[in-house]
Amino acid sequence: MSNRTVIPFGPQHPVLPEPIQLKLELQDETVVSAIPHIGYVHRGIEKAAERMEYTQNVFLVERVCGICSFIHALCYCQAIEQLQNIEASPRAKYLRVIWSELHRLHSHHLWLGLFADAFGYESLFMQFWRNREMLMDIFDKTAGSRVIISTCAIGGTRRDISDVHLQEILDTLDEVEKQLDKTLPVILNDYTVKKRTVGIGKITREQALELGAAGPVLRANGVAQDMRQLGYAAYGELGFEPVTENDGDCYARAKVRARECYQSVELVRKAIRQLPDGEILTKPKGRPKGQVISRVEQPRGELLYFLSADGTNRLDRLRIRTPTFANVPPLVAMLPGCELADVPVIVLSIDPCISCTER
Amino acid sequence: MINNVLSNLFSKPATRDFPAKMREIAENVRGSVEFNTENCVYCGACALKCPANAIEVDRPAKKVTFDLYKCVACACCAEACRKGCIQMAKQYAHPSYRKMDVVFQGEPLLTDANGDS
Amino acid sequence: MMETMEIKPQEIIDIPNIRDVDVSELLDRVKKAADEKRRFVTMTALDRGDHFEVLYHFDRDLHLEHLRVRVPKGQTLPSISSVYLAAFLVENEIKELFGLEITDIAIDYQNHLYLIEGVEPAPMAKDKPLE
Repeated sequence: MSNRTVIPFGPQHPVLPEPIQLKLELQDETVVSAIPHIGYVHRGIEKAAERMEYTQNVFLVERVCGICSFIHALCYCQAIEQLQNIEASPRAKYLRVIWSELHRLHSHHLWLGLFADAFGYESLFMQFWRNREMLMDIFDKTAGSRVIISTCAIGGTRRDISDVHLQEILDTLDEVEKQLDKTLPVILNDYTVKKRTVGIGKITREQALELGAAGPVLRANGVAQDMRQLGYAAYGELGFEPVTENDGDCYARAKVRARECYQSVELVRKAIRQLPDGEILTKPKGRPKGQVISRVEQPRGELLYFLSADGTNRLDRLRIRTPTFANVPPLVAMLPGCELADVPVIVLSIDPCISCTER
Repeated sequence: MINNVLSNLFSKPATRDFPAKMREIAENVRGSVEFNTENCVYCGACALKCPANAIEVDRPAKKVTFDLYKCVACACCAEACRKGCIQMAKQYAHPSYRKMDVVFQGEPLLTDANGDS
Repeated sequence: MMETMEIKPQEIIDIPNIRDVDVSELLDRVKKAADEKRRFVTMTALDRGDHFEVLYHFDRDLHLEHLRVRVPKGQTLPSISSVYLAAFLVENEIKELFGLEITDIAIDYQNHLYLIEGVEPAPMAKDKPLE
């Protein structure tokens, strides 16, 4: 006597910028279970990395994700640096922080815009993306490219940021912060938004840990875990404290990201204030040999690279675990019990990046 | 509310009048690769460094073939070239109807995959 | 017995906190990790010629710990998705891309997570051409 229906959600859906399919089993309007299907954008990057030289892989791994390209390159370069036993210069470390945080900032802007769009707040979506454009212009000026900035290299960075540009970054950040002050309250205090996010897609702290959630999904459950606490690059010297919220619902996840925007602005300012002089590139020596794991914090959460090298100029194995890959099981746990109309909001609340996930 | 209305009425639009006003291209931008084969010694360093395998150097024939559509504009070739033959131009590659290789043998030639110019 | 043994030990940079376990005691070890509230991070498979090396990565308070099992080719590996449900995606991935048979996965995609019908199986295996 069951009147259950199965509705395929995606892979093409107005709120999904990337293809993931969820097979939703519904009892009337309520989701009973969800099974995710990915595999629409698998590119075989891990295999391609075995074919290319380890120095060329920097440009390959940047293409795992267009939104946080620099952070992928950073994670890879740090792993190779560990294997070759070299260390980036202090200035390079600070430059890496600056570019990483700008990437996080623009990624969170992108997500906030898409999140607003999921409720049908199109004007707000444009406001966020207009802000983001100011950040993209910084990349254009400092790195020479808007999206895949290709400035990270094994042993440091490929480009320096001049004092003129540093001042420009500071000015832009002032403007971005001013705009954030105007736009963020709309998404955080609006009656409709609250109605559709508070208590929706809730998971408990235990569930989040058990299902291996990463990044803002984990921190929205009060778990203060952020890979930046490991103190890679110059984060150890910047006095970093992770942002946490306790409710574990869509609203808490949005709030974590909103607060991280301000945190990133502060981190960039601090990094620019403390930026030391000096060389930007340490020459690598020898070829990588051994196995190493490198972890950094992406806008979406913890990114893990496992490298196995045998002393030739090609890697034996490169394993990439992206945060969305870890956040799909929590998503499956969030969906049962929610209304069909809330599914888009919940899916967006983990900030899915499917191209990352499948590599 | 009234402030918003007034400021939106009298402020400039957020967008550009696109075809009339182009976005200014930043200095040091990695736009597209520009070859200058006059000083080239055909050492092949650029082809070796290229992560996308977009460059082929034929030393005996003194020929450089550059696949514009494989290029990822990373500027590795420009860094590798000791003769300063490769520069990153301050303009982006233009769209095209056909995928063409750029062949340099003396004068740059544009050919498509079949070798027709 | 494997390639890694040929490299002199002092030259190898290896990941710390790694523990070699047998396939038979794997599930007990994983259960213990779950009881101690470790967060499952991911799994990594490596093709070592005659056998697969599978690493299980766990995190507790930003501290990584690993289990390593060696599975000869042709043998199966039990799924840990009964303990950590989060492992189902990565287990499907390994099964599909390496051709290592993992049994009893909670949600089994039957080798169709990434690959489609008619594609050569196990593209990540070392004997598959790189191009």
